[in-house]
Amino acid sequence: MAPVSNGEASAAGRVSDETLMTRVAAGEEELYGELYERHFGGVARFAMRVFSMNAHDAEEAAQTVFMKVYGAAGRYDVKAKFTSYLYRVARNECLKMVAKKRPIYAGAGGSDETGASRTENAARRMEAEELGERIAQVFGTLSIEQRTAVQLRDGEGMSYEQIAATMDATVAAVNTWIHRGRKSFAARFRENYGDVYAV
Amino acid sequence: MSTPCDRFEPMLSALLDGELSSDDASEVRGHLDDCESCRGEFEELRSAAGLIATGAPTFRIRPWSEIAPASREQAPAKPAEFVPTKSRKARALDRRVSRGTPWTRYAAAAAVVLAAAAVYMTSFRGGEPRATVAWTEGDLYAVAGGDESPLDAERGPLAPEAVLRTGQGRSELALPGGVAIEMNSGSRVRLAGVDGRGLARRIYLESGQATARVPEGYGSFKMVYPSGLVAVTGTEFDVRLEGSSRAEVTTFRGSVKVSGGGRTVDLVAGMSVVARRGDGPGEPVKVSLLERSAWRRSDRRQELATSMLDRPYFVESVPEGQRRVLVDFEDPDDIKYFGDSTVPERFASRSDAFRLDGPRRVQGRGALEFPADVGLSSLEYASVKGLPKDWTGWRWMRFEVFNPTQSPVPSIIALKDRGHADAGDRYNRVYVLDPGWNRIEVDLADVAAGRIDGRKGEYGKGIDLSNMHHMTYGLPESAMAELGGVKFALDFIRLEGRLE
Repeated sequence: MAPVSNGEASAAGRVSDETLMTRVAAGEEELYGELYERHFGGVARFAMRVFSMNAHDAEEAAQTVFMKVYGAAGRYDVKAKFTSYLYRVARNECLKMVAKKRPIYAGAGGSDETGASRTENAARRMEAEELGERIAQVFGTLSIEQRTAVQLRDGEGMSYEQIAATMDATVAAVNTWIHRGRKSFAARFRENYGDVYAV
Repeated sequence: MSTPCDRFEPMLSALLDGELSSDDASEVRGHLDDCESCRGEFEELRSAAGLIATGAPTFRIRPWSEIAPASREQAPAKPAEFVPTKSRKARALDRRVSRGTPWTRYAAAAAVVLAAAAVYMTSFRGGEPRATVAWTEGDLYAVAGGDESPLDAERGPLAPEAVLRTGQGRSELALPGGVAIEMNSGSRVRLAGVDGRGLARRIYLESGQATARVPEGYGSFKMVYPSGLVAVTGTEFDVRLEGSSRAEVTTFRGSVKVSGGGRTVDLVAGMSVVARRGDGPGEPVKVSLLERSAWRRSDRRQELATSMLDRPYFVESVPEGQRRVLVDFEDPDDIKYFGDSTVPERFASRSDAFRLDGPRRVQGRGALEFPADVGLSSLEYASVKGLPKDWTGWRWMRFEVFNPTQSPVPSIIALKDRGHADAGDRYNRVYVLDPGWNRIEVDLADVAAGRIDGRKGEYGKGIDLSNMHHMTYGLPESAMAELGGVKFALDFIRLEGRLE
């Protein structure tokens, strides 16, 4: 189920992301830790799922993203949804990382494996029963726009408008990416691993 | 004639996500009550969304206090202008802030800067979409009058008509709507605004070189340069300027129209044309796409992505009778369909015939690995049991190819019928391979008529589909020379789409 909270103030009195970030910008820098803890996992998962990074690179990317957002706190616009801003930075950072150095399809395993051990690990992964790996594998076959939109929607619970702001696209495009992305995911998952429902 | 499903099916995800107005939502729900097929799909979408939402790993988070810099001023980002039309006073304030002055001392200034920042971040308020910098290898600047400000990827949205210049190193821009513009070093572009749907429709190339990648189904997009323009839909092309009176346009994928001097020329993939101010485009010539895309690779030596094991492809099922598999390389003997030592004498003298190792198991699927410098040649269809020589009645021939490199690589397929098996000029067509798996789709109606992308061209002669002889597939000679023994892979050759 998609995460329920998206930084909104709740009945229990939790402070919104936007309020926190504004206070950080105004000088209460220690509050940033709360934002970091709320969203670090989401950003790292985003890097992993959408850009096919391994866990180590995804964590590194997420840390860089949070550092940059922290450093640019003074330019945060209160009216902007914090997560839209955060994931825009994340997306650009990941694009940069992927374009510059790493093979686009590095997959899990890290860059210090030899060719032979990579083959073995990959073979073992291919036979793995683990649901999470199967999901990631099929998810990886979607286009990058579809992966971005679907992960922000189903992984992070963002609205279409927020996703559109993050991706600099129209809501209609976001809708198409999500719809076709889910359809392709369902068809391919079923084709290769049996019924989607059966899981 | 469209059915209710045609109208409502595309709205199912929006319904699931609560993104429809209550009127639209009731309409769609009403349809779901009546339509079992859409109900089934709705449940599938819900299951897919559920799967994607779960099953992602959790991360061990290092406490922020451990990694936080001592103060915010020491954090990596340095505020810089991305919209160069700020007043001098606002710019001065920004410079003082960015030099690391403690925030609290400028409480009043802070309010001003925050307000100024608000003006420039309009896209986050759900305003008009803006272009952004996707990545930059070296220096990228926003130019306004005599002023230049350096840009980096996270500097946020660009002004709608920003002028951007690269120094050393390449940069890539993401235009609203999904067009990607890759700029070579020493290039300059000017952005244009968006249309009513928030999509970028043109860009101006003022100097240097840029490649545009336009998504399928995007509609029109134009790159305008001093002596003409290139108009495209769903394609990839490159423009290189020499001064302001000469432009060289190369098409990598699809086809483009190059206009100037009152002339318009169609340029298909694999061709290039020079356009001069006043005269417009000349005659297209065939070029090496590998050479033309060389500037987009950061290193002439290809870095191999981890092999095909890391990037699977999946094939959707099709209705009964809609697919005929020609070769799927599941059987180790499938190698016999291509040039190999087990093949009859006619191939025995080809040195490349001995360089194929046979199908390799990839994720439970067999695929044929071949070195870049081997031209694959299939056997005569008639001589091998099971391979049909009659391809009539089918719409497409498709197969999957894996490109292990990090940049686009052209490939060429040639199809020959029995009447012209030895002729060098039957149906030939270039397909550009992206990194990773690619689906090659050959439109058999085009093959029969000798058309390339719907147009008659000198490289396509009509083929007798009822009397197929063989096909060849491989990379052009320049790619063979550059890539040598780098291993590509081929799989799942099939006919699909039964006609009538």
